[in-house]
Amino acid sequence: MTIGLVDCNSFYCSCERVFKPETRGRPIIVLSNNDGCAIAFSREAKAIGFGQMCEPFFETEERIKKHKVVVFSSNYTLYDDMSKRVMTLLKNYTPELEVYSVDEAFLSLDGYDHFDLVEYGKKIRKDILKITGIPVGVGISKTKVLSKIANKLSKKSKGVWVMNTDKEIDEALKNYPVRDIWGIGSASARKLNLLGITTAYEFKMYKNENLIQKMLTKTGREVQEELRGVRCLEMEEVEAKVNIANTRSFGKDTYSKRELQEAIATFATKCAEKLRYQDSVCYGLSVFVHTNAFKEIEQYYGSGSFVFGSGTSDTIKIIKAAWHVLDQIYRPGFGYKKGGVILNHIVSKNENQLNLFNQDPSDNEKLSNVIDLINNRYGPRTIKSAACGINHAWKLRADYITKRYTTNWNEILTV
Amino acid sequence: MPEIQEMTGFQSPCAEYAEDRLSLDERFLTNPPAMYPLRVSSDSKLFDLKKGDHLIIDRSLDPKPGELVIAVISNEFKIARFTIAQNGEGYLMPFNKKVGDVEAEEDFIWGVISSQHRKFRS
Repeated sequence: MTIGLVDCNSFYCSCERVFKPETRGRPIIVLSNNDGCAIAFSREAKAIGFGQMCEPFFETEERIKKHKVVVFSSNYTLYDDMSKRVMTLLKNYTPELEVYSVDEAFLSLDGYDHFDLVEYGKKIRKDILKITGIPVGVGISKTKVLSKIANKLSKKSKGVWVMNTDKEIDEALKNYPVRDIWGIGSASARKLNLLGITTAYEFKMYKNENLIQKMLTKTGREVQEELRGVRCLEMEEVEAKVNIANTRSFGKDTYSKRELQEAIATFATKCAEKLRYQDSVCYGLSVFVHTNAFKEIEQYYGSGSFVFGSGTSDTIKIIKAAWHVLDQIYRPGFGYKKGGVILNHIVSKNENQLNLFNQDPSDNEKLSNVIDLINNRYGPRTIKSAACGINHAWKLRADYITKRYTTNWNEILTV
Repeated sequence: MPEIQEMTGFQSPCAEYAEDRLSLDERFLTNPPAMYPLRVSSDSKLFDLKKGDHLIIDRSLDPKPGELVIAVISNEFKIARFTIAQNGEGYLMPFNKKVGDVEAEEDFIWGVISSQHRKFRS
């Protein structure tokens, strides 16, 4: 039984570096949506004291100047494509891949035990680096929890760490703090500390399983078993999304209802596109808007939902419903900083039961599909509902954004 | 977009011979996760390239001597010809630079140019 975890080093920063080779060796930070704060840091940036999640960008200006830090706005379109490239390539090394997040995946390596796993890990690392330009760490062990630990250790040993014998595993666990174990939150770690457990090895050897079950529930017990090399967490299939959301911070506080309507319509449009892309329909949606929680002003949080009579993926219907909710939750006089649309009760189009008493002749599925076709061919939002507005005053700040090198013909590399 | 109406009645005698129409992706995008498009920004007699040409880069390939590559030389993207010197080391011509390691921040080969495309009308 063997399982591998591959994770991309400083993923967002690494993606930028692929197309900006001059930033090799220099500290890089990537800012959140709207350039509010730093969310990703290269190794070099961490070395000079960056790394605190969501430290406000303006507070770091001096350090940025002093160390010539390279700053990027987040380019999620690029990161998404690079992530898909990495994941597609990883499928070449395993019969079963579980994409765990945008930058990490579990590889089932059952039956690979006769391979030299260190060499195999090195090959994965070398190939992914060459083909995508993104450095990865490879951890290989007996269970998911152990492979997570192996992956952490790989960072200190040229990117690959394999631990398969009990001796190798125990040696690693003895130096591994319990709070850094995958699945053990800070609250659980504190409880374990009270029992005198500080290392992963002590947790593994702790005999009173009933007490662990009581204190940390089933999850904690499973983690303990995984540390012992007993597999509790299986590889999981990735399913179609149950909810589709599009939420954003606005570039500035937004007071006017007209502007909010445009923003909400744009979010709704994007959600509907994703919905049709996965051949699904939704039965409901919710909408929220709220004020800037970081400012000392009167706060307001409004949210509401809508249920459709039958499943739909029609952009126009979804915008109408979202506006209907917005009408109910909008309070004048507040400066809104963030809003979003979330589609829920999503089912595959084939499973969509038409409501016998309420067949909806107004569903513009064909129209929506033609719009998607045109937008795919001529670029996103070539055609859009006028409800989305033309001048987006609420639009995000992205002062340091790079090109969409891999998804837009007008933005590819030139040489 | 008008579509040709499907025949009703008898099935077309051609149906069982139908094959998929030729696809440029299938021909030129042979390994999608490893391939990147690139645009040429100025004419080059040396490499027989014109401004506006599109190049498809395949990063999964190892270059053979004489092949054109995209290299990063002094941190800039350049088109170069890969050669192997007598001592067995890879060189990038005409820059006469040694092929180095991306992680060591040296000059390196970003990818091999697998095809070149020129449009005569835009």
